[in-house]
Amino acid sequence: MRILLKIALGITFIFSSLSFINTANALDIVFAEDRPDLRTLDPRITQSRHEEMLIVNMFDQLISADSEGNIYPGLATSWDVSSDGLEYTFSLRDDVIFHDGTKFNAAAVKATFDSIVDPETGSQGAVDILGPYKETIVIDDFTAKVVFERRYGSAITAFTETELSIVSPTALDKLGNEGFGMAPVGTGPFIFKNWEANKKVELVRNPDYNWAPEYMDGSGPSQVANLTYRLIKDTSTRVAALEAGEVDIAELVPPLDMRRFDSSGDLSTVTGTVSGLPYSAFLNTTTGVFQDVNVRKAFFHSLDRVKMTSDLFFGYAEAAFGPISSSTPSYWSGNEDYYPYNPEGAAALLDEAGWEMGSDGVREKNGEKLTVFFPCLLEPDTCVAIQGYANKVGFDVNVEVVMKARQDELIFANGYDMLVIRWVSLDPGVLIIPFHSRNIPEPGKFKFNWARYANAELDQLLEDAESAETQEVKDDLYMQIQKHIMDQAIFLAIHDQVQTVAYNPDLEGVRFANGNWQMRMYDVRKK
Amino acid sequence: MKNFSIILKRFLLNKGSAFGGIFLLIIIIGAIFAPLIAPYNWNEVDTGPRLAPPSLDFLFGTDIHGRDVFSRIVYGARYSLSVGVISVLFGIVAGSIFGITIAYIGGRVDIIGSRIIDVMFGFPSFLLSLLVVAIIGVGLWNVVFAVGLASIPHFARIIRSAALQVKEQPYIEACVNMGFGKIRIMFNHILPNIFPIIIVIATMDLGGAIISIASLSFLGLGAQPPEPEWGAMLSSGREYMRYAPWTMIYPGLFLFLTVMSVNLLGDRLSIALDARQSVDKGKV
Amino acid sequence: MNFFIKKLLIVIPTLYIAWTVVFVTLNIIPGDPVNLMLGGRPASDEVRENVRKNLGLDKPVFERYTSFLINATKGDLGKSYLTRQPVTTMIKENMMPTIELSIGGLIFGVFFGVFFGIFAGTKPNSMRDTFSMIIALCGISLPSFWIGMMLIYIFGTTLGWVPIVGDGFVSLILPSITVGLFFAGGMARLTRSSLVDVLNQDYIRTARSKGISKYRIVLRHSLRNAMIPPVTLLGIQFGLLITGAVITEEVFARPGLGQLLLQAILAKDIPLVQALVVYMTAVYIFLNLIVDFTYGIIDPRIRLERSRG
Repeated sequence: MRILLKIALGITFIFSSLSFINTANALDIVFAEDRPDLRTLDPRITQSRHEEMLIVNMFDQLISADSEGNIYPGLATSWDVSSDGLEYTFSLRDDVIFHDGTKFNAAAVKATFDSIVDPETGSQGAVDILGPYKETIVIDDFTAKVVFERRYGSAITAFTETELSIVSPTALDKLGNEGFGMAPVGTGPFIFKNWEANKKVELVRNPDYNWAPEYMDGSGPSQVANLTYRLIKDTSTRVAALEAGEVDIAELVPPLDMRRFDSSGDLSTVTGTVSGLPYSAFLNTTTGVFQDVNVRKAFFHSLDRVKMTSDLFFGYAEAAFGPISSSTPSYWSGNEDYYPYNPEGAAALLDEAGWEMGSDGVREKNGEKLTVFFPCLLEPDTCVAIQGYANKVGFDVNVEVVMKARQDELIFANGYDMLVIRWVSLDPGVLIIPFHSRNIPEPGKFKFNWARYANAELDQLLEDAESAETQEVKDDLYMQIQKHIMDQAIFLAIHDQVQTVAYNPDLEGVRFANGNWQMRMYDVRKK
Repeated sequence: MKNFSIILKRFLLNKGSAFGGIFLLIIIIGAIFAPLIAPYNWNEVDTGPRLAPPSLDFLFGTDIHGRDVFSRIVYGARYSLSVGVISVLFGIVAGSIFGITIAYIGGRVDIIGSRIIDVMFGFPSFLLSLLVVAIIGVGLWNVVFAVGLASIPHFARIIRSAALQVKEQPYIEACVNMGFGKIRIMFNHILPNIFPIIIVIATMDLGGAIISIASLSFLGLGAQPPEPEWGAMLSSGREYMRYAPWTMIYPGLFLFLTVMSVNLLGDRLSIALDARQSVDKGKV
Repeated sequence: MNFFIKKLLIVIPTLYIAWTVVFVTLNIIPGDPVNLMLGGRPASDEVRENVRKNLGLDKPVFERYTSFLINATKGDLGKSYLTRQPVTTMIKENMMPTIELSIGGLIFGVFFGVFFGIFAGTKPNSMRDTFSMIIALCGISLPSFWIGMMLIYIFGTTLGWVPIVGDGFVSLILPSITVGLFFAGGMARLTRSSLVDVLNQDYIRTARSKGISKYRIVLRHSLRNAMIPPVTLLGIQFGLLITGAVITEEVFARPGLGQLLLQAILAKDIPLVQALVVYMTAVYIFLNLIVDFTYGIIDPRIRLERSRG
């Protein structure tokens, strides 16, 4: 009898513990993402960090990197670089299958990279990250050789970027570029399920997933069974939904709320300092008052970036000084010696340039006002703060809060004096995108050199840096590049970008992807 | 003149219109003498601590940039009131010209004109304003134009029917017989006769116009930072609602009280107009 | 019957002209649709030409106009530049929340409007009349975005009585009040004045002198006549529901047609704007038509007068 009872108890115990595992294994996580207007979930096409927030959980890359930027084997178990730095030979995992059931192999790598450089695809981000890509050679089923036109110093980092995720060629053929962006197929820990425009995107766990990078805590399929991204644009609503328990994790939580959660302990928080371009403003060098380098320098000197940042972010972000953030490799600390807050210096520079203070507090020269048109797409409050400071030394800054469509129009028409940008990137190589003269936008050609600064010397430096042979050479070239940009005062860094995330304190394993913006949800589990 | 004193008496004796009149007067005086009344410059940052609650120094507190909310509201009255008046003026002038013209010429012109008004009525007016903004772009004055434009069919319809009544009067026929020009008859003889109606419908529409413009600014289509237009102030205060509710409570309260005052005046004016009509009829 | 047919016949030219106006205005908006469709991505001239063909922009304007009209009557309004979904699908997806909100606002507005209207109108110039009319005045003077935020602040943030996000019935309460407040104010004022007029008419006086109780008079005799002007208001107010939807959905961060319209306008997503306007004008015109019919039924005399005039 006793034995029977024990067995019965044992069975009950096993079942109850099983059911415990079951619930622990079937987490439903709701993530509050702030942009409702997602356009594509195709890693090859996107350039939006918001789209990548989802993409990063549906795809894998050849090389994997943790949030610190340390690299690990990804879809490739190992890789060799030829001595001339042109050829990267990857040995691929042979046990990986795409969400559509097709096998991951060297042909998929080739198809992905070839399609990125195909102009038909219209890649916005990946095509730049792939750099001087020449071709991919399929050596055998699980060996692929990627060949570059010239030495590409950022190649290893590039292969860890979300944009260079490997996509299913079968799905691509079936769905076409547009269709694939609406129903992406990768090899990642989560599978695309459903997308309700402006409302939510639903992913489910990949039951076959068995190739998590080694820095992850877990292995096998994720404990998160259903991963829902609710697209909630309004900040206070996002926070309210988080506090009400309607969402588990929310991004871009306002600093004041972060401070409240940190002091109350009701919610866990984590802040990521994003690498890449800080929140910065391009000053247009081809039109208006900023054609004069002294006016640009005066504008720089008029801002107290340290105070402005602490006033707006309550300690959750730091002021930035250089073209790339201090957390980006090859950052040059000399940036910090440039353009300290100095309103008297700014006034002197403007006086020298012939701009004299008018009776209304706006400077004038030959009857022309010192007016700056500032379309502001990101962080209106920061734009207003900039305006307030610049106003004190006699700039009349007209801020217009714009949407992307309007900003695109202004970019094509060269109709602005300054524009703000921020960019997540893992490598200083990103600088070629906003500063090379080939990237000056033209009507119909959307590019990112919004300062419209063309300088052969800088172009050469950027190209050389891209193919630098050693880290020392690379660091030195990027130092010269940063110095050039700072000397010319064409790019005004304001503050480091931060990703402020708050989440349900019962959860753990919430981690940033490389770059500290996107969140990898694979490891999320109950404490 | 006797009529006028009757109307004025009725007007002033009413508590509602008296309240509305006095409040509006205060707002208008405040707007005109803003530099004297506002303790700080509306655009000056860091006048005090950020997001400071209301105090003696900062009557309505400060916003995220440390700007004094009270001073911004006082200056904001300049925007909110004037944009409302200008948009209604634009609508009523265009509506009057259109309405009187089609009514006076009559015949086919009147039929086609009325059809145009009907079609314009096919668009809800806010939708029409949004569409106009979509075409001409974002900005406070664009929004003023859009709201004014959207109010034209409403004005034109009322003025047309009023003008039709006046046109039938023997006095106008006499003018025609005396060989007066069309334009002269329309604007020297018909217009003065329907002027009271115009004043009343314009006043009654003013409150709605102020709200519409503020709404569009709130949606980010109108006033741009740092303009202290009340709708735009509310929109930027929204993010700090939890920590600094005063940045959204006070601009909204002033918007509300201003619109209510305008509506009170409008109500009274229309009652007074009815009264005048009854007085007139009694005489005839 | 004549009256109804005549009304119906007016609808068609009105819709036709309204849609034409939409087509023309949206085609004079500056900016190349191809850029918008490409979302600002770099593209070769070939790609751009393909997109242009895809959008049908290579055809002459008149041909596009006729095919727009034909497709519009068939209910095919093209694809969104931004999401590349058929716009009709997007409208369908966002329709329900807006319908819920409109019905919520309508119920709130009609209930409180008629209640305060009768409350005031049955005893004009009394304290309760003044009180009700002050409330009604507040209703029409409160900016909806402000009252929406105040409701969130008071009931959501401070008191925590209602969820701020969510799909349930409870989360519909505050938005419905926000949408319905203006409507309630207008309804109350109109119901009151029309009730006062009716109660002063001879047949009511006669009825009262016959000793019929006041409530019976109000409920059985006067209300039917007094409701004609407020019912008219219903049709006009649909336009206000659109305003309400745009603003309330923005304030409460609810999905819906208002949000869709606002985003489409800001992003210059022309096919979507075009479709939403076509759709909203059609609903607006048809609702007004229904209102006309309703009062033809409430008061048969109108039918005659109107068909004569």
